[in-house]
Amino acid sequence: MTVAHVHAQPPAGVSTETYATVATTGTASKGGRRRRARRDWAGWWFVGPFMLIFGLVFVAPLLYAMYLSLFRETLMGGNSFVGLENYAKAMVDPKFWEAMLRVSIFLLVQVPIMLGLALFAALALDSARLRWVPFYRLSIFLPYAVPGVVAVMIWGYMYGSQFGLVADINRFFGVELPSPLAENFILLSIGNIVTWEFVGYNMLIFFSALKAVPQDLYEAAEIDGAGTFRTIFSIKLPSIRGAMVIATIFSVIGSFQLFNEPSILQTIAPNSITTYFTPNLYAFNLSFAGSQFNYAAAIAIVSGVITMVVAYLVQLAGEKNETKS
Amino acid sequence: MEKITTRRWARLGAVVGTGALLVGVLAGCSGAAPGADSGSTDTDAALKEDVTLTWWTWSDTTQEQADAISEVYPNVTFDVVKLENPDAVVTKLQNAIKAGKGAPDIVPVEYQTMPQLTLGKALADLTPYGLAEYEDAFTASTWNSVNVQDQLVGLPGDSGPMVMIYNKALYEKAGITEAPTTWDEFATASAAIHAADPEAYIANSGDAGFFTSMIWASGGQPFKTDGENVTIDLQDEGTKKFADFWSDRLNAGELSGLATWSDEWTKALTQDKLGTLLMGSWMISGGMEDYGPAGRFQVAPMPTWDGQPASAENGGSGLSVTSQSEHKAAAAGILKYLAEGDGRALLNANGFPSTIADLENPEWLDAPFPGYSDQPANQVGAASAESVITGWQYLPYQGYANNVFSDSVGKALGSGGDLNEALVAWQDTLVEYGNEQGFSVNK
Repeated sequence: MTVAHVHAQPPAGVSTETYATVATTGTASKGGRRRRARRDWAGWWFVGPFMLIFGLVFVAPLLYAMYLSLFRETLMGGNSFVGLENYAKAMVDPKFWEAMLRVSIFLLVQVPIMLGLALFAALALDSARLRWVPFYRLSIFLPYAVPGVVAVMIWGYMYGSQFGLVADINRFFGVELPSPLAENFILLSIGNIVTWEFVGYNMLIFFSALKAVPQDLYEAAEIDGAGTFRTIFSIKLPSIRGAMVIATIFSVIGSFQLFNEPSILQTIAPNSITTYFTPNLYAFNLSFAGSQFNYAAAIAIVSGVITMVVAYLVQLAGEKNETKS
Repeated sequence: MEKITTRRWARLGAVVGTGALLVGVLAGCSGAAPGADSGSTDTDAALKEDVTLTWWTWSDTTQEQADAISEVYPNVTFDVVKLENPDAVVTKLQNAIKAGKGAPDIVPVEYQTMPQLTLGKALADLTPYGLAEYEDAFTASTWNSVNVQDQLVGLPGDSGPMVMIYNKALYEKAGITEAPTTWDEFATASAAIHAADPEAYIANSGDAGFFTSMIWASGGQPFKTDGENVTIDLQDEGTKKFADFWSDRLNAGELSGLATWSDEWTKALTQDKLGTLLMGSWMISGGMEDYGPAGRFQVAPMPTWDGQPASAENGGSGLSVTSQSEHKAAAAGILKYLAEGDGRALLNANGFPSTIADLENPEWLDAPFPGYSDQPANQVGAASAESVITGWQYLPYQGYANNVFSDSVGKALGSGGDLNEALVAWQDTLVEYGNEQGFSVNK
């Protein structure tokens, strides 16, 4: 029995905090350690709510997915522990790797185009040569505010080659454009939708970074006789490198997680978009159409790890360049 | 022991509290074991007690029906939950079954997913509640659909014997004055329609549900289930016959690639660019007037291979009681009410009937449809119901099969190619999946 134990409950009218503080400082000999303990405790009060949410919405589902991925539950025959078998299967699953390859191509082609356009728009808005900057800024950003589902439906309508916009263009100009919803063009069409949706978002990241560039740098450049392009390449771009790395990482993650656009377009072009078109779509269909929750969890974890690795590489590359310059 | 100070106790408490909260939340996910059901099979007694039945649906008219039933059984209140479509209902129901709770009492189930949900132990056997006595009231094909693996897992609702709804004006423009009665005549009409207007097609290439029904109507029976043993042969005679025929149309460029029910598909119908719907008879009163002025469309029997009537079911659903329901007797009692008399009339108000008495009712048969220039179109559907080829079975994992249809057959439909080859690829996927899931497929 210790003193602390006996007095665990504060007397009436004294809060636990006050009582504890008095009690701790009262026992002088071990004050140092006690103080440290108090610091720990105070920290937890601040971190606690975050850790709780973090644990609930982030760690718990992740752990649960990992747990799930070690089993195999079948329609007949029930549930059994299979160790890493699901992962071994994923490693040699041609459907999964086809999906991975597809989003990788998407990443390599669409992301540079989208970020290039966003950068161009941000530089143009920042150039001080445009009137009505807020108007342009808002217009370019507007597609981002359109819900993804609606955006895909709008584009789906325009892509229609018998009754949509494409059909009207064909008729008006007497040409025969290939159908954007055909199997060979569907990835391009999805890339177009995603670019339209996210140019504004990335433009805003770049633009706000440009706004944070100190004015005296520009003045110095001007005094040194730097022209517009020299200013862009020597001051503006290096200054927003951090923002560019961030935007790239977001886009990398977005590419690997491609889901909404193909999933919605599937209803109007079911024969062009397979159930394993992207890794996410594959995992979704595995679990909800095939009841293969366990394998879907393994697929999700593998593609998550790949995404993390690629995003990390991008970040490393960004940092390396930064130290070089 | 000195280390245990008030603060440490408090901290410990906080940690344990957090843990308890976590456990509480997780426990909330798993929930109680299903079926605090009394186990009584006396449906009449169950309906005399106060009970609330949850009823999932994808139909707009269920609420009205529930209200009407509540007037007959004042003790029964319904909690009608409308979901987007049949697929959403299946997904949600399967998740609820997996989670161990959350399933409704009454749920509509498409005939093609009855085996899948029966296998997943989602549906209650209605035999103990006395539903089996209604067998003679229903058509053989619908009654067959709700009997899965020696269990009665549903009450037939509407039905979908296939008919051909065609655009008479479009056919006539191409010089075809009579509805094709054989597939040869259909092929001739197809070429003529596309030749007369290059933007017009006799039909669209179709989805999984269409494809399986067309195989059925051609005499194919690619899926056979006997307990755990499943046989899949997507190259049997009937299947091949239809695949060859449809490949020819496809490769001649005579089939529209528009997805059924898409906006463009609707436009194609309204603008005389899509000539034919091969669908279940529920489409007879399914709003064809939205797709054109009265008289544009007519209803004809399905073309056949030899001119002899042959048809299949396409769509249609029954009502089931879930295995998780805590009020099975009451829910089964409601199904009994809906099996005949006023209750059945309530169900038949929307949809094509599955009850023999209604299919033979002269008043219903002779009712003219203004949309089809007063054609008594129900007669065509009723005749089709009689010529549905018997013996068809869906896979015990038809939902999955329809989902991956687009990966093989759908792909071939979209980009041209040999449909037989695609069917073999589809079969390979289905065999592999079935064996993985613990069935014995093609062994």
